[in-house]
Amino acid sequence: MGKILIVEDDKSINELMVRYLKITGHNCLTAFSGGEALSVIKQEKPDLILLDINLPDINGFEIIKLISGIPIIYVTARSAINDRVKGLDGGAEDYIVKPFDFQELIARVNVVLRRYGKEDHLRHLGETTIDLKNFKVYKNNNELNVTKQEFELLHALITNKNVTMTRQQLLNAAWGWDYEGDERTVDVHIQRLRKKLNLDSYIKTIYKIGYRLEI
Amino acid sequence: MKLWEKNYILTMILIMTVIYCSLFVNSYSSFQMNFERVCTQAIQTEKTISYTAKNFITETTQYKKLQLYCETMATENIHFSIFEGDNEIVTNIPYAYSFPQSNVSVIKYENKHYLCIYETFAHLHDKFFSIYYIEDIEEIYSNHQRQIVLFSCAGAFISVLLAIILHFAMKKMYYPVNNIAHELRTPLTSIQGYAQYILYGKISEEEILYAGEQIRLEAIYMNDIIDRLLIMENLKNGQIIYSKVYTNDLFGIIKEHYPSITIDNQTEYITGDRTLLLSLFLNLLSNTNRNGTQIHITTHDNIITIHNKDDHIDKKMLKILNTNRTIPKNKVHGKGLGVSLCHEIVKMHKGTLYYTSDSDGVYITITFSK
Repeated sequence: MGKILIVEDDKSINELMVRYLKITGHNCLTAFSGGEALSVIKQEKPDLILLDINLPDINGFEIIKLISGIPIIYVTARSAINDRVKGLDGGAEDYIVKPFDFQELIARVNVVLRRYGKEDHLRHLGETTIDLKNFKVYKNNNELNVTKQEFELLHALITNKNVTMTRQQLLNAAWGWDYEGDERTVDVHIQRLRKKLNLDSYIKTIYKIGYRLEI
Repeated sequence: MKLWEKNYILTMILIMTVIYCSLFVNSYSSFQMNFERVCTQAIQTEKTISYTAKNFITETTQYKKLQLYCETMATENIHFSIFEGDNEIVTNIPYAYSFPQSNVSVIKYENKHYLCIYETFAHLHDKFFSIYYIEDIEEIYSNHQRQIVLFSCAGAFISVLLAIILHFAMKKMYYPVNNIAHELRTPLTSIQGYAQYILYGKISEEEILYAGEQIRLEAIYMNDIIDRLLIMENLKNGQIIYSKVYTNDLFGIIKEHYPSITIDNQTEYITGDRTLLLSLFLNLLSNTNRNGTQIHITTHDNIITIHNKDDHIDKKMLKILNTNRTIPKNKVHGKGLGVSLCHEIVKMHKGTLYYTSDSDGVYITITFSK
């Protein structure tokens, strides 16, 4: 998983981002000012930087000019269109405005890591190996036949491991936003996945909410 | 484009429209008045000429007297032509121009404006006599043009002046809104995030307690911001209640918050709003207490001095604090509203707030009006 540097001067939000990214399997580095961020970048070479704009010493827009080769996602309270345009034009991969949904943050982080080839595409769940790049699932090195929806469900759960996914979120991930089917469809497919891949101990049902892949 | 910028541009367009329309109306009406005055004078002159010319017209076809009169008038810069039917009998007009057949008209000839009056002034048997009177009115046109240039310059100057004043006023007015939105988003992100963390994360009992505590702290922080904003809003609206605030009571509460403070109180009471005065002292003490706890308060008449031996403020920061300018973000420890709020409170009590710093520490002097 990726090594992510969080540059955020608010201690509470910094700590929260660390906790969230850690439970989904990422390694985190922290910095509370622009100067501190630059020294961490020099020493640790992170895979991705989550950067606030309003920092005590150096503005986020200035920091991005001093960094090359590392993808950056702005996480800021500045919601004006010209700030977003300035951020993205300046070379950021994405721009997230506070307050944000943490599951969305994780999804965006994963997208950028995937784009830069920093995401580990082979995931292991006991005897099962999931190849996220080639859309294949193996059990004891034997390829298993899984449907597109089953694979997408597995993909959503594994990239959000240890985080509860609601049925609606899983439905959107596997069937798309325009699917008008019943949320219970998810239950049927999860049952099949559990049985097919022997994932009973990994995929937990969260009462009245959804499912969580626990590792 | 930000909302205040849009509003600013719209307001400026409206103001400039009003300025330029009123200047144009003013310039136009002044021109009209001058024009009417010149017209009246010209008609009177034309009537006088017609009356005199009528007396010179006899049954003979010789118009020697009329010719002489015409030449005399030319020396006085009065120009006219007299026609018998369609035939010009006398003229002293130095231009070759075909005049319009209307009674009063303005013609432009060689970049000059002339007022032209036509009238049939005498009938003799089957003959009729008419006059074309012409007067150079270029002066009122050139005056009008000068006035337009002058008014345009004045309009531009007023617009620029108003644009600058309005820009700063609107920026100042909208700045707190932007700042507050930013200040509120930060704790809101924490509250939303920690709530999601409890709801969706695979976390231990201990982590749930930690997240709950963070939510509680952020909610207090938000409440604090809102309280300060409400106080500032009330201050700006002038909604404060004046009464005798007894210093013993006030310092008693302060002692509860900062037990190490020493107080030498020689003032019985201060006239002002109790809540605001308490907020003023708690804010000032909270700021200075961060840098050291050797704080001593002295009151004498209407002057209250807070002295912190451990604190030190550099010259640049002193200037910012004493002029109530925006404190740079890297030097703000809280929300940056504290000192601004203190200045507002002191201002409402018609007093002054002044910071000084030397080797002996920091002195904050508040002088209330007697």
